[in-house]
Amino acid sequence: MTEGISSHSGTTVAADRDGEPMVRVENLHRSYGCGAAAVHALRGVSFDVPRGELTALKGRSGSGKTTLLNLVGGLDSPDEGRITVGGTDLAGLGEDGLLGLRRDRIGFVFQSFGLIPILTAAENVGVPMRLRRTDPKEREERVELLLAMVGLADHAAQRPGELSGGQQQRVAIARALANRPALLIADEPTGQLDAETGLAVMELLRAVVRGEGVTALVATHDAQLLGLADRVLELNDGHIVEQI
Amino acid sequence: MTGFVFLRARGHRSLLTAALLAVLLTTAVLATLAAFAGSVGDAGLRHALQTRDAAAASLVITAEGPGTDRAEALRAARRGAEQSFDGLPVTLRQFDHSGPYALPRGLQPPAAREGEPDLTELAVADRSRVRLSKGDWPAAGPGDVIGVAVPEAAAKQLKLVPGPRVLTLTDRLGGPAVRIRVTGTYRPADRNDPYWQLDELGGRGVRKDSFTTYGPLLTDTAAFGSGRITQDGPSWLATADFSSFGADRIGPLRTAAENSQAFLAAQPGLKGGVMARTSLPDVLGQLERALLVSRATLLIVSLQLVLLAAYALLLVARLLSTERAGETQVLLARGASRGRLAALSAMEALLLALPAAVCAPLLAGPLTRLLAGQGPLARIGLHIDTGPTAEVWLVGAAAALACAAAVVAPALTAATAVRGRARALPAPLRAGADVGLLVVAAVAFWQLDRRTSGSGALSGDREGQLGIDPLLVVAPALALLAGTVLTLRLLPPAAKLAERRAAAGRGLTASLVGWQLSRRPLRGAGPVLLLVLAVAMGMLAIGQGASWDRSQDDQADFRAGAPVRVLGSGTVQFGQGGVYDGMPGVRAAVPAARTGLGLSGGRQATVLALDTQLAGTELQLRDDLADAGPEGLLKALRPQRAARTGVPLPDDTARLVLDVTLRAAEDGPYNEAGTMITLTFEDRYGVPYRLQPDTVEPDGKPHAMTVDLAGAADAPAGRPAGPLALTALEFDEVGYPDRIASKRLTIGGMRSITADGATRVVTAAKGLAWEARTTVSAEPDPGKKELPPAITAVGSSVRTPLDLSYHTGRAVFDEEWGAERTVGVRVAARRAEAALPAALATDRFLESSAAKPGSVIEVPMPGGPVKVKIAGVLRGIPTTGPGAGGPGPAATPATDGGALLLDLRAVNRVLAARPDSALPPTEWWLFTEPGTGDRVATALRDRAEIDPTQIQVRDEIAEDLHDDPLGAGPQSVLLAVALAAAALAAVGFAVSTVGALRERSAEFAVLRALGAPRRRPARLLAAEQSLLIGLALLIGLALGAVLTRAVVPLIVLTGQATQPVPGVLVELPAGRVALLVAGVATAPVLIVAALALRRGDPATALRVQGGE
Repeated sequence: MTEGISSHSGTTVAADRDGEPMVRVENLHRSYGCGAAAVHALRGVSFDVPRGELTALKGRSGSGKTTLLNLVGGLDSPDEGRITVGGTDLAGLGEDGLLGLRRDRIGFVFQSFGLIPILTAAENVGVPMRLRRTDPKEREERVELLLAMVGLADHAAQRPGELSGGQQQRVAIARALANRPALLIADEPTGQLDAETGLAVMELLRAVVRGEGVTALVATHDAQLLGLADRVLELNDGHIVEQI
Repeated sequence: MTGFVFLRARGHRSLLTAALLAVLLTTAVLATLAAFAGSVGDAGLRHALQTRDAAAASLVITAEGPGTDRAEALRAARRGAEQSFDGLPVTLRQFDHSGPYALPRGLQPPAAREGEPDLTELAVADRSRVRLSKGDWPAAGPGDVIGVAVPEAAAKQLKLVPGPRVLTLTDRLGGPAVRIRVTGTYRPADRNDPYWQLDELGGRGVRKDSFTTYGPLLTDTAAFGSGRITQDGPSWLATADFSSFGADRIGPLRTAAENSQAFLAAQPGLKGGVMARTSLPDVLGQLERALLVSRATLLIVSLQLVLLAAYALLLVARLLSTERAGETQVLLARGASRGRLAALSAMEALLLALPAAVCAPLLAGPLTRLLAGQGPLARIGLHIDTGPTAEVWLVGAAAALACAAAVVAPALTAATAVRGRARALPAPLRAGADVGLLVVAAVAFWQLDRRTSGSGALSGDREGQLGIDPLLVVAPALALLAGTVLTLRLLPPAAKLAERRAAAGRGLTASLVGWQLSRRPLRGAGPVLLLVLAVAMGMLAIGQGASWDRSQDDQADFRAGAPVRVLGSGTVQFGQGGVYDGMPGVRAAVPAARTGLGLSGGRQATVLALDTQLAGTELQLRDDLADAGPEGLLKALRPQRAARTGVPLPDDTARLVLDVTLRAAEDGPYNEAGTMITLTFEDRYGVPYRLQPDTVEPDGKPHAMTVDLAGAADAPAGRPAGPLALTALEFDEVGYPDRIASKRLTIGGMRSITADGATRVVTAAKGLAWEARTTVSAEPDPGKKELPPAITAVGSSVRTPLDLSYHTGRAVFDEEWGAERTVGVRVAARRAEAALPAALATDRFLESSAAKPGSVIEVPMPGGPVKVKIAGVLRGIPTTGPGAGGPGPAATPATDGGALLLDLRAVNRVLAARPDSALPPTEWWLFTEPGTGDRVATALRDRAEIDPTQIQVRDEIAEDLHDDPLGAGPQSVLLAVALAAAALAAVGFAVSTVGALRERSAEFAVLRALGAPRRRPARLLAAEQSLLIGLALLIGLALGAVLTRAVVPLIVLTGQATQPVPGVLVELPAGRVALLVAGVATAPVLIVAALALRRGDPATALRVQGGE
C-alpha cells in the first residue's frame, strides 16, 4: 500500500513500505555519446537494495559505479529501465520531485568530500537544512548532534582546509544525514583516504546504518571495506555479475 | 616546443582569447592615441597657420625708397622670404602704392569743405585678390588721364561711377597733380585675406579718422610706372605653404622668422632699405605651448587607460596562473627547468603580442579618422594624415609586448606561491601602502595647484626648453590609483556587515552570499576595483570634456563682456551714443569707459566704468564670481535715480538756436574779439559734452546762436544719444576791469530744428534752477581795494531760460593797463550733490592696493581724482585681467593689479560739478536679440568709421576657442577613452566571473546534488555578482565625482597652459554619467545573466571532481 508523504517541495512521494527494498533497479541502461563512439556505461542492470542494509557496489574504474549511483540519486536519467527509491518510481517525478527526493530522502557522500571551502564544519552540515528552510534553532541543535555523532564536536568552527581528509569525510557524512534521509549514497567515500582512515569512515557508515536505520549504497573497490558491507554487488562492464 | 605551446594554449583557449582581446584593445587604443596626438597636432598647426593665424604668420616686406629697382627688389624679396620661412615654399604678392593725394573738394559735402581734404592713394594690386564689380579694369592708354578702379565702398560714398568724368588729384607731397578717370569699381575677393595688410585701409575702401581716406584707386602697372605718379617703395606679402609643416620644424622656423629683417636687409636688391614685419615667431611660440597642452591632455588620459588596462590584464594573468598552477607544478616535477618554463611563457606572450602589434597600428588609422570625424574636428574640416608612422608602430609593438608579458609573467611565480587562509587585506595594504599613495597624490596635487595657478603648467628645463610637466600627467592617474586602492579598505567593513547577516536566517542564498563576501573579500575585489576604475575614469573623462566645453563658453563670455563690443570708432565721441542704439538687433547699447590705475610694485589696475543700470540683467556674471550674489553687488553700484537736470531738448534736434543777448557795461579796456560761449550738453547716459558754437558780441542785442548738434556728432555717420539736455554754459572774459560794471547775459528763447528743418520752441521746465560762479586768473588784492568778479543774480523762466547778471570785479593797475585778467563765468543747472560712487573690486586689486571692502580710495579721472568706496568683492570682472584679451597691452600675472568696476553715470555725476571734466565712453557693449550677434557685427564692420579689428563678437570668440584643433582635438578622444574603459572592464569582469564560476562549479554541483533547485546556484551567483557590481558602481560614482571635482580644474588649461579666466566650473552632465554607468554595467550584468542561466549538468561536474 502506498501512502503519500509530502516532501518539502510539496511533491507527493510514496511512503516506505515494509518489506519492499529501499532501491529497486530494473533493466537499467545508460550510454554516453552515439554511434561507434558510444560508451555503454550500464547494460540492463537490475538489483535490489534491502532496507536498513549497507550494500557495497564494487567494480574497477570505468565499470559504471558512479553512473549507477547518479541514476539512483536522480542526478541523471537512464536511457531505459526503471528505478524505484522508497517505492517511488523516479521516472514519474519531475525536476522538482527529484529535487525533493534528494533533499528529503537521499543523502550524498562524495569521494572528494564536496564540502564548501569557505564554510565551517558546522555551517557545511547545516546546508541541507537551510535548503529545507529549517528553523535556525532546530538546525543548530541538529548540527551539534550530528557533529558529536561523527566525533567532531570540537571541530565545529574549523574550515575544511583545516581538517584532515578523514575529518572532512566525516563532516560530509554528517551533512548527508542532516535531513534524516532514508537512503545514503556514497561514491568512493574512502577514495582519497589512507587505509586506516578509510576503514574508520566505513565503520562510521556501518554504525550510521545500524544506528539510524538508514539504507546505504556505497561504491568502493577497496576489498577491506567490502568486508564491512551486508551485501556486495559487482559491476563489470555495465553488468551486475555477482551479488553476494 | 612550438607544438607544445599551441597545445597548452588550446587547453586555456577561452582565457587566452580574453587575454588577446584585452591586449589587442589596449594596444589599439594606445596606438590610436599616439597616432591621434601626432596627426592632430601637425594638422592643427597647419590649420592654425593657414587660417586663423594666417595674417600673423605672413611676412610683410616694404622696400623703402621710391627709386628702388623693382625687378631686382622682387627677386631679393623672394630670396629673403624663402630664408625667413626656413625653406618652405613661398608665395609673394606685390602691392605698389603712391604717396598721399587729395581728392577734389567737390566730392566732399559742403559742410566738410572747410576742413581737411579727403585723401586717397593710387596703387597696383595683385588682380587675383580683387573682384571687379562694375565697369572695366584700367588699361594703359594715351593721354595724361589715368584710368582707375575705385573701391565699391568709396564709390558709394563719393557717388562715383565709371564714366568720362575726369578728376584732378593734388599731390600732398608737392608733386604734380594727377588726372584720373573712373573705369570701374572693385571689391576685395576676401577682406580677411592677409594680403590686405599691405593696404593701410585694410581693403575696406574707406577709413574715417580726423580726416577721411578713400582707396586705393587701382591703376595699371604701365600708368603707375609712367613717372606721372609719385611712388612709394613697393611692398610684398610673403606667405608660406605650410601643408607639409610639422611640429618638428617649429624651432628652426621660429629662428628663421626672427631673423627675417636681417635676411632681407642683406639682400643686394634691397640695399636701399627694407622693413620686415611678421608675428610668426610669437604665433609659433603660442602654437608650441598649445601643442604641449594638447599632448599633455592626451598623455593624461593615456596613463589612466594604461592603469585600467594593466589591472584588467592582471586579473586575467592571475586567473591564468591559478588555472595553470597544477600544470606548472607537474612540469617542474617532470624535470622542466624554470628557464624552459620562461621560454614557454615567452612564446605564449608572442602569440598574444604579435597579432596586437600588427593589427593595432593598422587599426590606428581608421580609428583616428573615426575620432577626427566627430565633433569640433569634423566641424573645422581638419585634414589628418592617418597613415601609421614609425612612432605608431613603435608604440604598438611596445604596448603589445608589455601587455603580453604582463599576462604571462605571473604564471612563472605561481609554482612558489604559498597557499594559506585568505586575509582581509593584501600585505602592502596592511603596511599602509594605500595611505602612502594617497599622501603622495595629495602632495602632487598641492604642487600642481601651485604651478597652474600662477604661470602655467608647462615646465622648462635648464636650457629654457618648454616641456610637459610630468606632475600634470601623473597626478590624475595617481589620484585614481590611490582612490581605487583605498576602496579595498572599504571591503572588509562591508564584509563584516555581510557576515552578520549571513549567520542569521533560514535560507541558503543570502547566507552563502554573505559568507562569500565576508570570507573572500579580495576574491571579489578584482572585478570591483576594475569597475570602480572604469566608472571613475569614465567620469573623469566626461567631466573633463564637459568642463572644457563650458570653460570655452565662459572664457568667451568673460572676454567679450557682451554679445558685441565696440572698442573704438572714428566717429567723435559725442556722435557714437546714438549710432548703436537704433541698430537692428541691438536690445541695449551700454556705454563703458576704461582707464588705468597705477599701483605699487609696477602693477596696473583696470578701472571699468559701465552704465550698470542699463547693463542690468544683461551682464551675465557667474554666481561663483562673488560670495554673495553678483547681481546684488551690481545693484549696489547704481546711483539713485534723479530727475534730469538742465533744459531737455527734443530727441531729434539737429540744430539748436539760442537767442543770446550780452549786455556789458564798459568796465575798462577789454578784449574786443567777442565772448566765446561754451555750452555743455548731457546725453541720456549722463555723459556731458562741451560744444563751442559761436562767439557773442557784448552789444546788448539778441544774437541767434546756432549749435550744430548733428554736425558736432559727425552726422550722418554719428548721432548723439538723445534726448540731450543743456546743462551748463560758460564763457571767459579777458580784459582789464578797472571799475565795477554790471553785465547781463540772457538766453531769451531756444528753438530746436530737426534735420528736415522743422522748428519747435524749447521751453525750460518750471523750477529749473541755475548755479553760477566765477573764477579769475589773478586773485584780487584786498589791500589795494581790488574786488573779485561776482554773480549778482541768476534765474530762469519759461520764456527766458537763463538770465544771468554779474560783474567782472575791479583791479587796480599800477601802470596804465596792468596785467590782463581772465574772468570765467560758469552757469550750471542745479543738481543734488553727487553721492560717493560705489565700486566693486577684484581680489587681486585688494591684494595689490592693500584696500578692503569699505575703504574709500581715489581713482584718477579726467579733471582730477574721484573718491570711490569699495562696496564689494568680485573674483573677476569681465574683460579685465590677464586672460581677458582686452584692448591695450596684455596684462601679465606680474603686472596685473586687478580691476575696479564703477557705474559710469555715478562717476559723471561727480565730474559734472567740475569744469571741463567728464568721463566719456571709450567702448560700447551691445546686448543683442538672441541669434542676431553676427548680423549686428557684420553691420558694424561695414561702417567706414569703425576698424573691424575694434569689434569683438562673443560668438566668434567662442567659436575660435571651441574650434581650436589643438584644444578641441584631445576632447574628441575622451569619449573614446570612456568607451575603451568600459570595454576593458567588461573583458576583465567576464574573465573574473568565469573564473569564479569554474572555481565553484564543483560547489554548485554539490548543492544541486544536495537538493538545491537548478536556479539556486544561478541566483547565488547573480546575487553575489550583482552586489559586487552595485558596490563597484556606487564607489566608482563617488570616487569619480570627488576626483573630477579635484582634478579637472587643474588639468583643463588654456592653449597657453594657463588657468582659464574665469576659473573652470566642473560640469558632470548627469545624462552622460548615467549612460556611462549603464555602459559599464551592461556587459557585466549580461555576463552574469548569461552565466546564471546556464543549465549545468551536476552529474558531469561531480564526475569531473573525481567520480568514475
